[in-house]
Amino acid sequence: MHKKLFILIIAISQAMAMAKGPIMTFKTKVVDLGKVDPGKKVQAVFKFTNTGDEKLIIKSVKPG
Amino acid sequence: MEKTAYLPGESGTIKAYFNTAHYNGSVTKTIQVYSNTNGGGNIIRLHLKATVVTDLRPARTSVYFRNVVPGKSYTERIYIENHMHKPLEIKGYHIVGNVRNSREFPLNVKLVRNKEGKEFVEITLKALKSMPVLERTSFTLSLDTNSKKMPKMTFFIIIRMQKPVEIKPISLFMFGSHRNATRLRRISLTSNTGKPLKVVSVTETGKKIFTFETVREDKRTIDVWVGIKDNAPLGVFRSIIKITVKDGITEHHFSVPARGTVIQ
Repeated sequence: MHKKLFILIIAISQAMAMAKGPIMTFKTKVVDLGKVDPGKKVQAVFKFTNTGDEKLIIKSVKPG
Repeated sequence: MEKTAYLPGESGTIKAYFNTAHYNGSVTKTIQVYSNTNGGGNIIRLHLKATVVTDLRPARTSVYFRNVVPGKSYTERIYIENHMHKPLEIKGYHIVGNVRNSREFPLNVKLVRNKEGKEFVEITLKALKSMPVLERTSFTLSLDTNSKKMPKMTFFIIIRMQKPVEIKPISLFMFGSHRNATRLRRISLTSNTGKPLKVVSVTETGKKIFTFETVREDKRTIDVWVGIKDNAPLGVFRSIIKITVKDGITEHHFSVPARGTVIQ
């Protein structure tokens, strides 16, 4: 009985250690647009993938 | 960003926009992404880099007209570094943005070339006699140029009018004032227009506890000395001293808050 409980505890702790949660992996974190003209609205696209094992929630995106 | 929730394995994009106006040379902008990764407090920083290539580089992009007096004319000259391989031309100019009182300010823009061929934009402000005495006005002046990369060159214009009469200090703290003390605090009024000042009235709100004495310092300055009456009630007071002065025919009204305590 004690042995079984011990194994169960080990299994749970291992499962918890393996749980990664959501991970936001960016293809690149720096986008260089190169030479741009003045007075224009330019756009940069950052691609990402949720490489974790839980739902990723983006709360906000702010300049700064 | 198209949506806010992504399942494991799902991909998405974050789009960042950047307005290159008013930038010159290399620029880096940072974007902060707040998400539930790593226990919620995680911030991922993304960077957007760009090199803004202009062929017209003004030495400054804001022009400040200080202490503007109605009826006078002011000129500011801004050097423009020209990389167009042709002379700069200014085809026109207009004011953008919200000008207070929706009133156009009489600005004149001229292109000036010196002996060495350096180009300057000369902005002249003719302060009309009828110009409203606003403390501060700002707007954007846009110039149409012959540059393909910078067809619109913008300058931020700030106009600060000179106050015709200045008052010092703007409030009085009179804690621990004794009764029957004359010439306790001084309020100075100075004329900036050169016209001699004349005090029309000095009054106070609330309990009448002050004595006032007007002294002419010189042609431009008048001092109002504030004292405490001998029968002023003891304790805390809070009132406003209202001063009206005249320079020529124009009346100027000032309110000076006064706080303090009267002691025996």
